Amino acid sequence: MMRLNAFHILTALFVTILLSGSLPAGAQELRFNSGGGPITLDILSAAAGSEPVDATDNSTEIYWDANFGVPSKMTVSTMAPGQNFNLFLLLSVPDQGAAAQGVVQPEIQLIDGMLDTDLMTGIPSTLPGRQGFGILEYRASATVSDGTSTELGDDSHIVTITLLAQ
Amino acid sequence: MRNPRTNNVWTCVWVALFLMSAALLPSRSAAQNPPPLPDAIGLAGAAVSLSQSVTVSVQDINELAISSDVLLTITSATPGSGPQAVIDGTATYNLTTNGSNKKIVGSLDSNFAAGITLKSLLQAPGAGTSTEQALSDVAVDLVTGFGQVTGTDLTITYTAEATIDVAPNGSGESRIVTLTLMDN
Repeated sequence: MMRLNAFHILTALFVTILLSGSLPAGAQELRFNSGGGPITLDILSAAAGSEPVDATDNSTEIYWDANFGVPSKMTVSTMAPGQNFNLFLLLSVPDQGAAAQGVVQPEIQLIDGMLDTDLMTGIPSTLPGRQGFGILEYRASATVSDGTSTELGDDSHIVTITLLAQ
Repeated sequence: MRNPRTNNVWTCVWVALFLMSAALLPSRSAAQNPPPLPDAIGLAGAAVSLSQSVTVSVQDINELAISSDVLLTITSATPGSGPQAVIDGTATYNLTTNGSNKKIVGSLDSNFAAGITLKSLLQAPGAGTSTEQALSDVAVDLVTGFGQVTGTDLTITYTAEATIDVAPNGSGESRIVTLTLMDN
């Protein structure tokens, strides 16, 4: 014979707290740490006799927690209808000790309608390696034969970064 | 008085409820998982994405640079003819333009004395057309009809001429030649 009393409730609470501490977290996360708003890369200078100087931007930092329970990766793609100029992206991941583990891919050219392309692979499933931050380094380039925005208009990209199980 | 079996069932229900609530709670490590943005959290196992708007703008770029000064000295004549013209092809220019239908015009800061003429012929960049022209303080077209091109070490050929009635002028007359890259 057993009655529900304070002892039972406290025991249940204790078990709950113990179990909740050892359960895996419920969700993966990807967010902007800084920046994240619209960016404009202006190509506006050249030395006489040379091609225009590239424009760069590294004002955006992202944070991820790849809590999938399995290894994961980040990919990038873009939509830029009528693209005329070149845009590249490199995820720069500074040393964060045991955190931010994975293999960063070389600079990727962003082309309208491209398939999702690996930006970082082999992100581990466990802490601390599954969490980290990195800087999105954009680089825009154009040759003189590409023309100008005056004639062709600007290129407008919607760049999408995705964190997913590998 | 309650049935003991009923009490056991209620106890199990309580424990089950607590366990379920524990399983549904998010990660407990606040230091490792700061409060995320609402749109940055994915369902367990689902991919999560971020999007950013990036605009690439290419401005009109027009750059022109000339290499060096030039000295032309008229020193001789064939008997029975006027002074012999002097030609110099050592000067060069570099150019970059990403625009279309451009031209280069040339002018002097002031005219030479009467009887002295300075002509200029530029090597055309790309598909441009060049024409030898006498320079004065009024700009004239030297190269026309080019665009979206870079060029390095393109030659500038100067020709100095003097008529027989020009008096010797010692160390010479210096003029500044200005080349301007502009719309055609």
